[in-house]
Amino acid sequence: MLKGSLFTTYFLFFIGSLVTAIILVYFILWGGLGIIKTLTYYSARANAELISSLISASSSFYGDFDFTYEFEPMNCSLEIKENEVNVTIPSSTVFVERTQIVIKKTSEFILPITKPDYITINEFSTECDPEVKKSFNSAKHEDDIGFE
Amino acid sequence: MKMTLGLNRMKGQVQIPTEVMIKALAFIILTITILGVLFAVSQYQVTYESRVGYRQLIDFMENFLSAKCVAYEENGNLWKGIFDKSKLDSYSPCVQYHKNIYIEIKDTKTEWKFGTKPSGFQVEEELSYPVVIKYHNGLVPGTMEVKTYT
Repeated sequence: MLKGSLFTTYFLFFIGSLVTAIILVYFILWGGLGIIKTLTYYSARANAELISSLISASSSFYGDFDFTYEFEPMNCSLEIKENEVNVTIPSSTVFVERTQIVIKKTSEFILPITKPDYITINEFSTECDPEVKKSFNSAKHEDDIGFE
Repeated sequence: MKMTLGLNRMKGQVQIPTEVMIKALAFIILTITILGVLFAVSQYQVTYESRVGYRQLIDFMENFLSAKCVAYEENGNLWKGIFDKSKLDSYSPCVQYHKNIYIEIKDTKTEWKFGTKPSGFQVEEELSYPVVIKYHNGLVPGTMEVKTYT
């Protein structure tokens, strides 16, 4: 059995290690989440790739197919044409749950949509909202894909 | 005359670090190192490179596998990944791609080649899928290879 003073010392080491470990895990998770959000949610290229691939996936499906896509609160514009997707995210500062997110550079990305010729895509455009999340729906019915 | 060893120590005092002190020092050094590494890591700017061409080629393949101009249809159902031999023989492209693309489908009996292999260009992306060819008297396994050129 350890003496009182020695036990207290080891106990304090243990508590100190535990607190340090918790702080490290918190910072790693918080930092990692921030990096992922910056690279995906606020990147025109990532959004354009995702939307283009989702439309392409629904056009490859033989039957009806719906999906909903959601933008984070920010300034952005989306334009879907017959054969391409255009996403623009201007440089701005948005506040999400009291956290300030600074989008340093304006990013624009245009990506072609790969689909069979007999699939028609209705043109669509929308703007994001810096206050709330903005979503739009895609619905494939037979050989026609529409958005709202 | 008083003899000294250069150290003013009391008799019986041992000036070696205790085990607890070593552990405390190790703990402090470890904490400083971890915090230093975290600070150094936070100074890096993270970037990523996605393979847009590769992703789009996968999109093309998925569309091609279920395209009406090649896929086998029976009783109003379209079979993804099963190609109709008669459609392959009289192939007319129905899935466009924005780059030079070359498709090669072969089974144990026949080989079909669509698109052109541009000379002097390098292969940018390449994909291979297992497929099945529907002949009038049965199904034959085969492969489909698709290449894009820069």
